[in-house]
Amino acid sequence: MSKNLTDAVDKLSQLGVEFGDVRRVERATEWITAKGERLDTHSVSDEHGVCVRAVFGGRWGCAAGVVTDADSAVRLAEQAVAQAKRRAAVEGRGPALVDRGSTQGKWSSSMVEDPADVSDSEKYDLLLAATAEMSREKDVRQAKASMVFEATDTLTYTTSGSRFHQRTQRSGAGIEAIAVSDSGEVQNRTYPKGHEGGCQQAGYEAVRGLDLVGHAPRVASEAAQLLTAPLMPDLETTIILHGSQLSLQVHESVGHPLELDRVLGDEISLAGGSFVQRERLGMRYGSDLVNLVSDPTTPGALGSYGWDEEGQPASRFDLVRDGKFKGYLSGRFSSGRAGLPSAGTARSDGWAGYPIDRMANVDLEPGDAGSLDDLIANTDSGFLLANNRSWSIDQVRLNFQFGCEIAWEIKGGRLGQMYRNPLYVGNTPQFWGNCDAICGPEEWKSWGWFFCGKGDPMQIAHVGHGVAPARFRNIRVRSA
Amino acid sequence: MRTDQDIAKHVAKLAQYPTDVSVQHSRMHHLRYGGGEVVLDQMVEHRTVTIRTLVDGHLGIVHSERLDPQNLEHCVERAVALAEAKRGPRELDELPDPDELGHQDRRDQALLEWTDHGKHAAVVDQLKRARAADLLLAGSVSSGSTRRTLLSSRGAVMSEEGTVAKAQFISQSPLASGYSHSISADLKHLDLPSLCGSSIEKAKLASRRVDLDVGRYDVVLEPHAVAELLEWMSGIAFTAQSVEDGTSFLSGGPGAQVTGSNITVYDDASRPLGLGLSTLFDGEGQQPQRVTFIDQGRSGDVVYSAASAARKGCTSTGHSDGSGGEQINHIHMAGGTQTLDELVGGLKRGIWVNRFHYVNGLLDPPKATMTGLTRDGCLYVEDGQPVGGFSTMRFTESILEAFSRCDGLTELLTAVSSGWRDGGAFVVPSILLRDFHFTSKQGGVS
Repeated sequence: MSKNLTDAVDKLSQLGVEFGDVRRVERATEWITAKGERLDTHSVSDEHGVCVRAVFGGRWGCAAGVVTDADSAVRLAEQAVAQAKRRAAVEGRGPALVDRGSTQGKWSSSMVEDPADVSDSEKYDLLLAATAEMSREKDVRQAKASMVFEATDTLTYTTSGSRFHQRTQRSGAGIEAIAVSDSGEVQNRTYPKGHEGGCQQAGYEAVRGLDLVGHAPRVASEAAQLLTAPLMPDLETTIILHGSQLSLQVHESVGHPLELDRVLGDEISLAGGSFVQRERLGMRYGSDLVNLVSDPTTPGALGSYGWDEEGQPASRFDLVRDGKFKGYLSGRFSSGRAGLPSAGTARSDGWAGYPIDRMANVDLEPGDAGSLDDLIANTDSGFLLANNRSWSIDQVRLNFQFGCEIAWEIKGGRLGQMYRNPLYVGNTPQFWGNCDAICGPEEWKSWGWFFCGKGDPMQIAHVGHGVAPARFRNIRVRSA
Repeated sequence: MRTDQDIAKHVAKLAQYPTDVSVQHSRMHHLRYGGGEVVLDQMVEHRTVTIRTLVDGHLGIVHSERLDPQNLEHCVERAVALAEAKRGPRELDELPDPDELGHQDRRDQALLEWTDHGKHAAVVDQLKRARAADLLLAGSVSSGSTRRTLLSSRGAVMSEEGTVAKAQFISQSPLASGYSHSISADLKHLDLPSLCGSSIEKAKLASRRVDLDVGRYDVVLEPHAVAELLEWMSGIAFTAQSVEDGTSFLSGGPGAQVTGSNITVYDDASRPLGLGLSTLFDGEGQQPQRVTFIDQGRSGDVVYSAASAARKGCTSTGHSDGSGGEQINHIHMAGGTQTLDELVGGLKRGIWVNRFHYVNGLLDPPKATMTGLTRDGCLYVEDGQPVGGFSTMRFTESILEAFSRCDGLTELLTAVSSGWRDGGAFVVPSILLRDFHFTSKQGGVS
């Protein structure tokens, strides 16, 4: 296969491109879901394709397709060049390219136990044991458990001499209990977080480490208790966000607005723009406690890599330091257009995806508020909110509203009454400006989010968000 | 093994157990623009085989883009191994036995012959036109062809080919923006200059700004906004799986009053405006049946695959996604008798919503409580006349309750593409809802 890529790169050079890259992606994905006493699905898929980009006259063309024969990559190279040439003819010469760099090497995520070495039967046993535990709770109408495994192999060659090869293994699992009352009230609880559970760059040890069966009785019991819990009151108050929710808060109100392609207008046709325009470099984004970084080097975090897809080595990059905005998520080419330093976060979601500015791992650095128990003990009144249920934020990423599965009242430093259907509303810089405590390193954990939609055509990225629970003052809360 | 049928027949020969095979192919060209410039020019060609095998009542499903004989043999073995390893209640007694539905070719020749150069030049013309109006254009134009072939376990062969083109324009000034969108299987229905002109006009109307308080307003929702609400509704309520989970507002069975009596929502793959590929057969080779979810305000049925139908003890409605779940690709809302001008003209003090942004329907699914925001060319209207644009507003509302306050629908139905899926379209009117609840608005940046 590497010869096919070499042939395609040679073809790009023969056709006189200013730059070109050829990326081959092979991916095997497995989803297993159980509902109640039955295995619902076990779906296996493998992807195998090549994406070729070419620059001619400062204009980019791109062609991607499945690999059908030895000449597929060369044909795609010819197609990409034709598109770039057409663009140069219709639009005129484009901007000069920035330094394209040259990268050589191999990188792999770490893995202790290959999921492929674990029998289907053992995986089924675990999922069905978890759903059986949840089903013991009489109000639970549906008990769900799922696992996902994804192995990706990416090989990239460029006309500037880069040759880099990356392998990633992602594994995850989660459970959900849905309780229904006689009156039709429906409540759900999940573990370790809502939507797709917990995912990491790891092998099957990530699944074993979650102890799904051990958590199942609590999850089911809380879903049942929520049926008769009071609705979240409508007031302005103090909230503590558990990592299962704070990680998505970071994603939506920090990661997305700081993607440079949104600022440049490239993303308007789908997800929108950003309130963090370039003249706002240095603006107050949060309180002095708030430090946010892009860090694709974190071992085990879902978005880690050795190089981004434009060949820039992974490195830690400040986004917000001491509450002030410092830099964007970007790749070599978008940052070159803007005259800014690159964060090295150009990513695609597979062979068919065009690399765009993306989150890899966007993390909130830990503070000094100790453990979550310490933070609760040091809070006179407020609420602890956990596990995302709904999310929505405006197209420049200012006004947001998040719904959670559960809230507990905090009174005198202790957790008390449980509330159902909690949601909170805010404005991004005001919200982060109201952050007055962040738990310490002992509570810091990278949460993997498997489905981040962006791009047009839509691409789905896997991203990580390292956070420790944090406290926010003067937040509007109410019920859905 | 060049053709899709060749691949399907090759797999069928390898199969030792009842097996159906489908091959999906698409070739799409995408032009994306933002900030007044083209930012993406990409051709993408997909080809995937799906193998579904039934062993002792259990399904094994494998999808693969590796179409060489050696890998296809491996996929057949893997599907059998998956099915054999499964346990618990039987999923199916036998694979669906579809009728021979033949071949349907709905490709539009003009769209096939629409060259990348012609498309590109047309887009660049619109970029220039917007600049001349002091606006920057963003959006995308995607077009191409798709093909599906299915060989059932008993040898029935069916295939369908189609074309699709969709375009969207967002005209932006520093103060305001306007939006327009179209999807069609035929090039003659894709009028780029007219679409672009519409987005420019909306941006101009929105450029005069008014300051609105949050609260309840009568709203006219244009088709894109209606479709986004229905897309979420379909996810939380219209499938057998959501009824099994107990989260659907249709869980109580048919006949309950759930919205106003002027609301009828159904899926119908046979309607001429229902675009997309699942028109002839679903992922199991079944012909999609018309399913009415809300019938004049009363709860109706949901869609089933063969497996979910077997659990329920009914027959499949022809809505399998081929992977164990259900899919709904042709949602229609019945229209009324009015025109858009009449709906907007009837607003005393209201909001004309061009489209929503980031709707989420998971707040309280049994009540279809959703939240979302206004975006691109939403206008405040007084005494039937547009006054101007306003800062982004967020609604949070039970859509069932909102649909109980529907006071008008247009006769004209418009096709709107899905926000999340490539196939299918929504075919919906513009609607007037009374007292729609806006709960917050976008604050500034200090």
